[in-house]
Amino acid sequence: MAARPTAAARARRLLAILPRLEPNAEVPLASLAASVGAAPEELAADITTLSLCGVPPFDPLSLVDVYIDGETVVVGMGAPALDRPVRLSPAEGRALIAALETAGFVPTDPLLAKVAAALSAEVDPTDIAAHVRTASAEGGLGDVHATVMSAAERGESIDATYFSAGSGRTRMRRIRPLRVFVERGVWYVVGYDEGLAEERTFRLDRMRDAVPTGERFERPAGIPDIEASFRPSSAPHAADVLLDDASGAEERDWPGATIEPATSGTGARLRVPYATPGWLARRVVASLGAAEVVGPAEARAAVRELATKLLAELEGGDRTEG
Amino acid sequence: MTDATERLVNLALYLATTRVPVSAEAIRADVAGYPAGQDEDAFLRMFERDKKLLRACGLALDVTDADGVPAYRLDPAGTYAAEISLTETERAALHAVAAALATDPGFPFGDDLAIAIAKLGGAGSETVVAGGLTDEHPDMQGALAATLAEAVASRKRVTFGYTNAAGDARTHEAEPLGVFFRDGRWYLVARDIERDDVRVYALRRMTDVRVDQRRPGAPDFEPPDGFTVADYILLPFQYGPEAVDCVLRFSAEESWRAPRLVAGQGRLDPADDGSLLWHVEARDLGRLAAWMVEHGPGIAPVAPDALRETLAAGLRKVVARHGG
Repeated sequence: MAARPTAAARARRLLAILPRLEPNAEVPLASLAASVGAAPEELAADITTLSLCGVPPFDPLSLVDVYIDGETVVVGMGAPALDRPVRLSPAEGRALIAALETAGFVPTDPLLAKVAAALSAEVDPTDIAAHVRTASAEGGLGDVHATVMSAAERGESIDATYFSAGSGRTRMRRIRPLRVFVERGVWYVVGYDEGLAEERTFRLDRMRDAVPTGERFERPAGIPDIEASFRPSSAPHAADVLLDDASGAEERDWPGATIEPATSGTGARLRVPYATPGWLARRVVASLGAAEVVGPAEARAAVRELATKLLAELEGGDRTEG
Repeated sequence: MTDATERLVNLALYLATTRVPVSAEAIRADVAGYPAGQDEDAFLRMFERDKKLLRACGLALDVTDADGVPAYRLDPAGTYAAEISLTETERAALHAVAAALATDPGFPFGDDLAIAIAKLGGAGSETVVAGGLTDEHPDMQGALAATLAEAVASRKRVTFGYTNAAGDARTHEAEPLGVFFRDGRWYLVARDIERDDVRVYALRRMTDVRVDQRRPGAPDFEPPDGFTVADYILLPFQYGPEAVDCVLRFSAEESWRAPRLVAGQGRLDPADDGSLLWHVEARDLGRLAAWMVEHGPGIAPVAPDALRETLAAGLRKVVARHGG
């Protein structure tokens, strides 16, 4: 059961929504509650409290004129003051900057520059950046992120230049973005790949760019199951992998894998699900000989071919600094 | 009886409507919610708490001297936000981060984020579905990150139990300097007082975290000049005893990925052929060679020769183990 919010927390969210209580407006209770992270019943109680608030002489003209009618917040004359947006406090500013940073917005992004105008004078973005960092990738993903989110909300397809870790190739994909989620600090979009004619999951930090096409699509009924489209346990194949040293073997490094100690020595035996052997091969080759695919043959061959190719490139490669 | 929420809102409205600065005594008389018969000291303590809470809501209070007595009113310029004109695309991005993180227990500032987005006129997003910032103990990591971020901001010492990767457990007393998030996990950067050394601690390995409650409101330490937490967010091959200067080449085709992959470490220099040369310090050439393979294709070693040899030896071993 969630902890009961403190009086300070209730007051803060009421002061945050005051500007949205425009005179003679009717606002759905659920959306107003969601906008401040409260349950509708919690906000309903808060609105009742708010209707008792005001300034001297506390007559009907000097109270906050608002009440609940079923699922709707009904506003009469509104509030006697504080009906304009208030600046973000230091804690709120830190939260917003940290959240946007997870999505790849760097301090120089135009969105952060705009948001800075809403910050309290006590908020120092430089100081926040020196003490709290949440970026999963540098290099400014804000533009890609915003384009994908906006297209998903509008139901508009995008052309994305996408790097596939499985194939190692970068190519254009036309995607109908359906759902977005964040996992381990990485943002993903589940979308319908028009070229492949199937749903795929794409990492936003592997999109070089994303451009809206202007083509609208009907969003399918129901939410795509990210468990099915993202979770590796749903992958169609599985490989048996031996690790020489089990001490660093974690499921997070071999998504969806089952890990068992080897019958002898310090190693481990993994059962690793995979969709295409490209990703698995690169992962095993990156162990530089400390892991071995036992089977199936196609995965074992993929590892051998990738290592052979990389070795050939290395031995014939450029050694100059340009 | 007026509850505390009502009193706080009444106080905010009163300070926003008063035309002249008002004394604490006038506030006590005019604002509904201060208990009748409350003694002077108790009232002043309550009023101090209330002012602090209103400031935490983003309200700026102007304090002036009125015949030797402090007088208060809202500072409109410091309180009200400038009009922000967001594009549809920017608004969608704000909605998405709010929808994904405001209720994620692994994100330590969820409540503050919800209020921030509400103040910017935002709302949720139907296109965002639940995921998870952290993949292990999100409640524990999120709550600890919130506590430690506050300790960083207020410069209060902390003590905690810690079990390192080798399994050694001990209690640390530390000055918290920064927190960061990387790959599903939260970390603290702090100066270990006994060792007089700045270290990085994984929150998932901490137990019994306590913030020094003595001298509330007074900082326990000053952070080192020029401290920035980014200096401690290293790539996996940058941990080890001896630093080696390395140079890697991102091919022209893959150069667009370089700024995202190098995570602010080292220096990227453009070459004439469109490739990028990455000058970076490594402390574990084996892990750097593994990193190159994992994030390839299009990343090649340039210097030192030992890096190329480490990579080649590893690749030969892979080929040999897989029947080559």
